[in-house]
Amino acid sequence: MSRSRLVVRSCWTHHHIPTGYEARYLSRSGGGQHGCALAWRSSKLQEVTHTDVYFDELAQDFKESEHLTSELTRGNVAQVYALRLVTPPSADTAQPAADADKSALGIVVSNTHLYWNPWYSFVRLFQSHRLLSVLKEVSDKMGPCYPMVALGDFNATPDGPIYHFLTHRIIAAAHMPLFLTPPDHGSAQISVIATDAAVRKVGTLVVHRSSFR
Amino acid sequence: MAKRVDEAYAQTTQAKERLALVEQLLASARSALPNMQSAYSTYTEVATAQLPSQTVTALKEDMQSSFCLWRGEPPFTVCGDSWRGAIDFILIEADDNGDEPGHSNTIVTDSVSASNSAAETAKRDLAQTGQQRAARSSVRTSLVVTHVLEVPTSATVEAQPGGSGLCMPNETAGSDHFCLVADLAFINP
Repeated sequence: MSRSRLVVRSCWTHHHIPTGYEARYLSRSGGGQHGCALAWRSSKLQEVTHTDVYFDELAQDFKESEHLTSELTRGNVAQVYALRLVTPPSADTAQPAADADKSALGIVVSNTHLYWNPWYSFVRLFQSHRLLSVLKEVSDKMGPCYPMVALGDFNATPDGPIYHFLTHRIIAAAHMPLFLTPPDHGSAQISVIATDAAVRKVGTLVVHRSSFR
Repeated sequence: MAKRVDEAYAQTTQAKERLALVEQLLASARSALPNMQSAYSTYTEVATAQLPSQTVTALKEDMQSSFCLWRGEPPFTVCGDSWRGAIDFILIEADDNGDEPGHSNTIVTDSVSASNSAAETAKRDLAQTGQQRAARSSVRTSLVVTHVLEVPTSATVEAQPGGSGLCMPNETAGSDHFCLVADLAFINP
């Protein structure tokens, strides 16, 4: 077993990067001062590759659906970086740079801030799925010496579906109603849905949704 | 009334579409996505043994008084003026061998018939990749959490100057989010 102290920080703005750290900032889609920043101690870690994830791109798969395009366009972003542990120069001189990167120890680390609205678990599920997919993709590219770390504000509590998805890759049955409710979840509309026999099952689940307030 | 029914139909259609997409997403998730676990997932249990009794008492009070329905994670990682709870995490790759073959990603297959084939595909994928996953785990470098930074309790936040009751930021904390820090160690196969 080898031990190394990793020094990675995540924050929301790029204004407070301490000396000795290298930092990368990714602004939300649409600009503004919000975004994600990832910083690491440059004496310990070195960037190998990175992928900027714009979750708005999820909407491109649903161009024909106006409401899905609207729901999935929230401006959230994620950073995914492959960082290798800095080793003494002599250790790498015998290998080409690309091979050295893959055989060295490192991490694939991400930082994100998922969509905040508690009613939109559906959006956070898609964002989480994309994030894990990119993490896996980069990790596979880097090889077995780069385990994955995901940091951030996931806007999801440990008793909710997104945390469960991130840690188990499944959704508990009790959480499924959270994905059904339309954004404008008025109780009057729910009562109308519940009276329609053709959609009663979905309507019932929507009614359950209100108990999750 | 007719308009309301039309709107309700439209929303129900959207809800069903959303559910089908969730089913589709979950169908391949277990075989295609990495297994992650939170570095703070056993924080409250470990804190009981590691922290001073006064802090543990404050932590237990926070667990009881807040609306959290979980154990393990801290009661909150954000402490704003309108809401507090745990929403920030450090997730690390977990051992793939922790998979439970009996799990299915598809939960409500009786209400969405189209998802049945997706569920079958997911189960088949899971079985087929089981051995590959085990082999992959045995050659991968993994991470273990050796230490995590203690998170403040309500009592700590209340004692900090400049805040409004339990509200952060204050003169001590520049954000309404706590700082999470995990010390990780590599384990080479």
